[in-house]
Amino acid sequence: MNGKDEFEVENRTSDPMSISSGWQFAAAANLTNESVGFVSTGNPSVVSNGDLGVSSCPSTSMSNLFTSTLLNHHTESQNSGFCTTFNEQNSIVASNTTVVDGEGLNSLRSNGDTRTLGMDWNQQNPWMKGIFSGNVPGIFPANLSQLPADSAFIERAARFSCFNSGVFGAPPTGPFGISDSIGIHSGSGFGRQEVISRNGASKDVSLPMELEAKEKSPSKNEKDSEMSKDRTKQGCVGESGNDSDEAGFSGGQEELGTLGGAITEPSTEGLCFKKRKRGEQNVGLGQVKETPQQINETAKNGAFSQQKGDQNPSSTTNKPAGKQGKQDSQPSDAPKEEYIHVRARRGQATNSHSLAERVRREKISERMRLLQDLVPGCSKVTGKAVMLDEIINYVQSLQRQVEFLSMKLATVNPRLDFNIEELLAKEIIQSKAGPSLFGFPPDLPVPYLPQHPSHHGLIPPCLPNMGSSPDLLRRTINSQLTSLVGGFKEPVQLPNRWENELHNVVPMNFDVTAPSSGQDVDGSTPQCNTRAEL
Amino acid sequence: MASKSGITLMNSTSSRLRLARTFLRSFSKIKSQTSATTTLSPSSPHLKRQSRRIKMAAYSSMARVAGPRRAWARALLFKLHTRPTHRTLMNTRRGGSTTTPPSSRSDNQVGKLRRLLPGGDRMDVCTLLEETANYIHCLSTQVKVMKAISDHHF
Repeated sequence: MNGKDEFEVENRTSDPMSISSGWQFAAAANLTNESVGFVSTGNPSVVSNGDLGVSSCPSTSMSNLFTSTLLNHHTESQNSGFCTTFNEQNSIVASNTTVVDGEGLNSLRSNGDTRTLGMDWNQQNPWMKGIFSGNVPGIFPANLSQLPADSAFIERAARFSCFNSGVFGAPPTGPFGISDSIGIHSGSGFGRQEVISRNGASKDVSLPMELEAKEKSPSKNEKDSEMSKDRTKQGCVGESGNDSDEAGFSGGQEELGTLGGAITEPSTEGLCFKKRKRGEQNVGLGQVKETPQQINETAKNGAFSQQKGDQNPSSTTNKPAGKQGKQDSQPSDAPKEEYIHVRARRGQATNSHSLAERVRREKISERMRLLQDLVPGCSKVTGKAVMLDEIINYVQSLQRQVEFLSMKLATVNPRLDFNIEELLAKEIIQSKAGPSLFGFPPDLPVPYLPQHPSHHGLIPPCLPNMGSSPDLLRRTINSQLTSLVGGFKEPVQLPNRWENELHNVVPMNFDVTAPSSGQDVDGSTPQCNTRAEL
Repeated sequence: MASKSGITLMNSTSSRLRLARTFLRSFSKIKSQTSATTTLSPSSPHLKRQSRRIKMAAYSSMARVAGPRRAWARALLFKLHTRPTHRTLMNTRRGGSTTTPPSSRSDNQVGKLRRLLPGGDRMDVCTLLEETANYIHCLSTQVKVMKAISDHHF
């Protein structure tokens, strides 16, 4: 920033001269001073930014109820102040041709940037205007000297120079005091700008994440906004801590890196702007610390409408506020570290792979819980490995039991087996009435009672109604059910069954229906039986 | 997941009866066939074959009751279908119809579980656990039914 400071100081000192003598000094400065050359490379985009600033005025957040000219001036000042800084970064790395080639991109970008920065940069207007009033006398002559063929540029520059001399250049207060303020605020502003560009770059990557965050609860949104604030502040601190030309150099590289995706950037940054706006409101509501800045912002807006001619005093008055905000951001980094941590975790989680992994893990633990209920003695066990061991043992024991029982059943006297199904059916039902008569497990016979009508009725959802409803309802359902169920099974017996009590009827009915239903299923699935007997 | 567990709970009552019915049918059929062919004095190989058939009937009835939506049921039925071709080969080694060819991952418990569960060698862990839960449910039901039958007969 030292070079920039020097350059601005030089511009500042050259301010009256440029007003009076116009372009000659700038040409001389272009010859002598390297930093003015930077500005000259940035100039095309500055001019185009001025145009875009005019066109995009209603869409930006400059809804300060200004008149149109004021609005134009405001945005122009912002744009130019902003773009002088970041075009300087560009020009450090890039040659003149790249800047001229990327003029459209730069304009697009700056368009998006002004949108995104609308709220944030209001508080930084003063120093921008300081830069603007300091730079512009140098800028436009340089522009004209470099691009003399472009008549449109000349026209614009003429307009700007008029405007500049009329509005901004008129009250040149003490040059050194203003340059002081410029030095401080350009540092912070540079950092901010860095952060914004970084945000834009990262938003390209993590845009769905941001959208998802937007869809989530307001508390999360607030947290999100705080975290984005963190990012800006971190960038601010980091850049101001660097405070060297290298920072500018890397910044320029970053800018160039993001320049490739600059066409897509305005849309994403439009979204970013929405979020940032909301985040600003949230933070302003939630955090007292931010409120002075907002107050300054609003006061600045009011002051801007009042002091058309002299923004420089307002810039000097607003300078401590911005500084204070910067100082506030430094101690607040420590408690916000955990938010950054959460952010990182959330960033991990929104990665598709880790998201799928998390879902998978949740599913697995859910299945484990389900298995815990099924496997006896597994509810006390903690740890997945032990639980899996238990499950494996249980499955193995069950399979062995099946094997053993099949061997046991093979030794059954085959003479009994002609009516075994009827016998078994009868006795299973009877064992329900008299529990564990035949060595049934105690939980086995009990479910037979409610399930038995369900098997006959073939419409399980109707059964709770049947069981709980009074007789009238039961008969109405009964009539429907006979028509429904009668097609499947014996229609003659169904009225009897529904008229009587369920508990009494079930065994009786089962006696009669068991063979028939068995024949039904036999007839319907003969291949299954053959398969089973293979 | 709550709905699924609810469905399994609702089906658990009816599935038990269906399982008992299906198994009893096939069991009686096996018994009638064996009684038709060999009326008296079941020899040792005959008993072995019959026990194997009963076990296969038990597993197939289990799989049929569980329905085609279950992967283990599908794998089991497929195995029971394709069983007769290599019956002699498989019978000499292991009688169990649930044995699958051992997977490559046999070191951990998940690999063990894969080998235990029919068709488990081509499931992911999540599906494997879910299918295991259902398989355990059906298997325990089957065991209860078979136990009831054997208790009735003895």
